[in-house]
Amino acid sequence: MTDTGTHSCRAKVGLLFLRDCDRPARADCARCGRPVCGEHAVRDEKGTLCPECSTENRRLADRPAAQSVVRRRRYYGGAHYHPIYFGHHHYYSDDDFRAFDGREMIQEEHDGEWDDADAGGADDYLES
Amino acid sequence: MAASAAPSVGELSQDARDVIRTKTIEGSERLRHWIDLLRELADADERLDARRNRMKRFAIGFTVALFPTAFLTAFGAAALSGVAPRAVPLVFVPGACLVVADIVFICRFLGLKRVDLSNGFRETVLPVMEALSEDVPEKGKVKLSLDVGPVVRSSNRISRQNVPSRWRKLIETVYESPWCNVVAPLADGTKLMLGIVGRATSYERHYTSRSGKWKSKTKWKALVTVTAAILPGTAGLGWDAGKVGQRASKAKAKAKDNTKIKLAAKGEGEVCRLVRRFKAKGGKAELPSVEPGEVVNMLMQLCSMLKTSAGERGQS
Repeated sequence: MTDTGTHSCRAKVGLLFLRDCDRPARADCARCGRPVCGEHAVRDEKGTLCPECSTENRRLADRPAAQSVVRRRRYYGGAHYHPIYFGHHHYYSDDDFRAFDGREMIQEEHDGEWDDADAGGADDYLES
Repeated sequence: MAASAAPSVGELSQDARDVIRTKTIEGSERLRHWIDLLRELADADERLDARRNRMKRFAIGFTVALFPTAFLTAFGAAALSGVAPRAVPLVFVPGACLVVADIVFICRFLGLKRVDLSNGFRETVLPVMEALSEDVPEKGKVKLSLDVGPVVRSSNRISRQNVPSRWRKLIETVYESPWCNVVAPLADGTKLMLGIVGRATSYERHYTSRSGKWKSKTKWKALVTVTAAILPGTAGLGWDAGKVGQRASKAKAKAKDNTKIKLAAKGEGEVCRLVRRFKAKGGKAELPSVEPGEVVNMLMQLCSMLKTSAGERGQS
């Protein structure tokens, strides 16, 4: 296990909102180098992986630490949801294409769904 | 307690046994506590459901077997009464054994039915809680009020009336149960509220058949209303009125969508409510199960209408 000194865990937690785990890191991911705490470390024979990287391996995707990533992908994918991120560690995983060009494209497509709606019709739903 | 009918109930924790006895869960505890309790109850309920179905199959099988046995017993008794009258009582032994076994299975089935819990808590509430487990702070108290009893019971009956119709009599009975209510704090101080109300309506139709007999038929309609609401807590987190308006008008335009979005003032903040209805029709008085994905989707729809100056969107 790598000594990561005073680094904090950079695994993201949450479903509706995302934030950093921020517990003291215990190891670095063998694939992406991200520091992770004991709870978010997924260990296999080749070393320690972060939850995101562990989902690449089907055998490891069942581990509790990887489950929240799997769950997020399942829910976000169907709903085109972009959670609010309250953390500080900006990084992108291989499949986080929405963070790049695709993000704008999907956002536009998603907004377009609602363009044809009559905006004035909502007034009676709004109370102040 | 009816737990004696199902030995596995005795192995449960005191809290779980209390829930099975009272059919209600009420309190303010950490989310981990609720998840553990509901998981324990879900496992037990699944086991008990399987056992109850087995007992039902046995009871039906033995009841069906009683008919040919009764016929054979009568035939055997008649045949033996002339030849060997002393052996006649022996002919009744298989039939008596079947009756006893049938009674035992029926009693066990009824005992297990008494400890049965409605499936909504394990099909909807538990998976939603598990999905939100990382959003709720570890020490945050979650208010939970669950009614795990059947919706069709006298205490839930809100109306019973004769409805004018072309039949001799049409009685409409409405049962309503607000069976789930959750108030949970999210990690950034935002408050999440989730309410599920089940409503079952029976239509008891009395009519005269062509042969002149009086007959009756009952049909059921069930409706589940899920209300999800979010009250932003953090300074810098608020509702994007434009997005809310767009979604509300979109929901209103779709007549079949059964969705309503409403923004209302609450204290110093504004709470946004998303209400969705799920319908079911049929011969049974069962509420339609709401997929946990649907509930999470509703919450994500609400969160997607929030605007913030503290965070940013796009990373997952």
